[in-house]
Amino acid sequence: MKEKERDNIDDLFQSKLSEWEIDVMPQDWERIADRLPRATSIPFYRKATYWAAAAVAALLMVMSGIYFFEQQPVGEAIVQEIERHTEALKPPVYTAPSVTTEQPVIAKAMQAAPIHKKKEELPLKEREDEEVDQPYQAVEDEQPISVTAGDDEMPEQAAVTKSNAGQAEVTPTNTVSSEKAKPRRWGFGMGAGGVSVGASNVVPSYLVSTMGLRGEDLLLMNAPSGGRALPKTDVHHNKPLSFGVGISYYLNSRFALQSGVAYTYLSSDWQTNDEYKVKTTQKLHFIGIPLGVTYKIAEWQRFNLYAYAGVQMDLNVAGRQKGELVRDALISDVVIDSEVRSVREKKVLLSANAKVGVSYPVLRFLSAYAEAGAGYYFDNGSALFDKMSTMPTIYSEKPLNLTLQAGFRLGF
Amino acid sequence: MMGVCLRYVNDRETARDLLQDGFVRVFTSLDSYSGTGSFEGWMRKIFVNSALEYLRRTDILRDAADLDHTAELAGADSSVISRMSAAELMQVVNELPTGFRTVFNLFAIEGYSHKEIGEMLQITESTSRSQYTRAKQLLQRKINTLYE
Repeated sequence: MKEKERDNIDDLFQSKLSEWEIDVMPQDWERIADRLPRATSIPFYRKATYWAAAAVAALLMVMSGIYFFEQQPVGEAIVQEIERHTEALKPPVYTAPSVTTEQPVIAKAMQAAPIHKKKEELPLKEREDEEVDQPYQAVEDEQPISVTAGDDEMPEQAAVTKSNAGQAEVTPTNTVSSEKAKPRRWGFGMGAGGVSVGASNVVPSYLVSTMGLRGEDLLLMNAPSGGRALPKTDVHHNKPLSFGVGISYYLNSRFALQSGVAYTYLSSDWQTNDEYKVKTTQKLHFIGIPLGVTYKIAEWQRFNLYAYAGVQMDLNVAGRQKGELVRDALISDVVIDSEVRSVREKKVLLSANAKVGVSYPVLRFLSAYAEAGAGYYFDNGSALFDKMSTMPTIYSEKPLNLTLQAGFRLGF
Repeated sequence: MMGVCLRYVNDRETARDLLQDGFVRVFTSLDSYSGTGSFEGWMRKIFVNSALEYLRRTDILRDAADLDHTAELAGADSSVISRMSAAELMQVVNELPTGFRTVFNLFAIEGYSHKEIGEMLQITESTSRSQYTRAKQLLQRKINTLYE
């Protein structure tokens, strides 16, 4: 805030001295770096806790899926079908409440025993009991028992019904079940596997992020060998690996909403050139939540063709960088210094995904699938997307990833 | 930022210590930068506060020169000052007594008001104003001596 006391002398001093700079010695920056608090690595017991929590969550989802499956009416339909088969295999129980043209033998038995009540007046059980108690009197012209269905063989799909006369009739049926199972609403699956492509790149400078070193420090170390190769860093990003646990909600026979939890593992390594070089390996772990829609395109010979489109949010939950300063001693590298430090990017990654896949049920709860698709990771301004940063990833080279994924999916 | 530290302490080694303290504070309190105003201005405040803390801690500000013995001087020619290099002006400023130099830096170069300076140095506004006046007079005398 300027006051009345300010004059042009004050302004002159301000203009000359406010932006006056003095070179800082390199040792000052090193001391500053040493004094900066280092990120403490997560102790092992906490790491184990995180993995145990993830395992418990996955187990709960599996159990929930099994529980939901057990509640599905599809099981009831299967039970009913089994009951019908069982009933169809039972020998028909014939009783004689009345005389019909199809039961000439029973009619003759009734005539032979006039003492008892007419069987049609008796309850069904008593009729049967009477049949057992009374001696059967053979009739010469006994007619064979006629059955409306085949003589000896029962049809495979047969319904056992009881007529008003209490007779057992066996009639073939054309349908296995007259009831339709309720459509399944929820699905649960786990999938893994991935065959995608990595990426490599050459950065025309030294990428150094560990041991308190900077690119300029490495330049000074290699200065005596000046005149050799220009500084560069060979960067290699391995293919991403992913594993997911998903849950589906079927809107109808074609569409389903999908979500779940996905784990992604990114690893990269880079190495500077020249006599003194820094080798760095980086491992990053991501947890993501996908959300999308699946459309069943077609089904043929149990092969299921589907398409998927959706988005996914990933968060870098843990990461580690290991750096080694080595001297190229022609025969082998001599390690001068090394450091392992934890790294983590706090910004959320957002990606859009689309894929087409085909699945085939191998077992009752297991199906194999293969998918081809593409995912685009949107640049959120984080170090993960900067080739020159201290945390480059494959997304800095290829935000658009083409993937081929194959694996197994558990379905309930 | 090294220049900022050197303007408050005319000892290079002490200025290097203040530089390191300042940058450690900057890196550890990055989350507190809200984005309003320039980042350089935010950093500069941290370094100025670090320097003032050092001066208060070492009680150097108490050793201010006796104001009553400073005589009125003729004003320096601004054209002379404009021809001087930043390093020469810096040397002249560093020859000031600590109290005068601190108030002069805060008012003339950093742009704080005397009221703000009084709160920062825990002195009255009139004391800040008088210290600044004496600082300017001493500077003018030194400049006149150099270019007579």
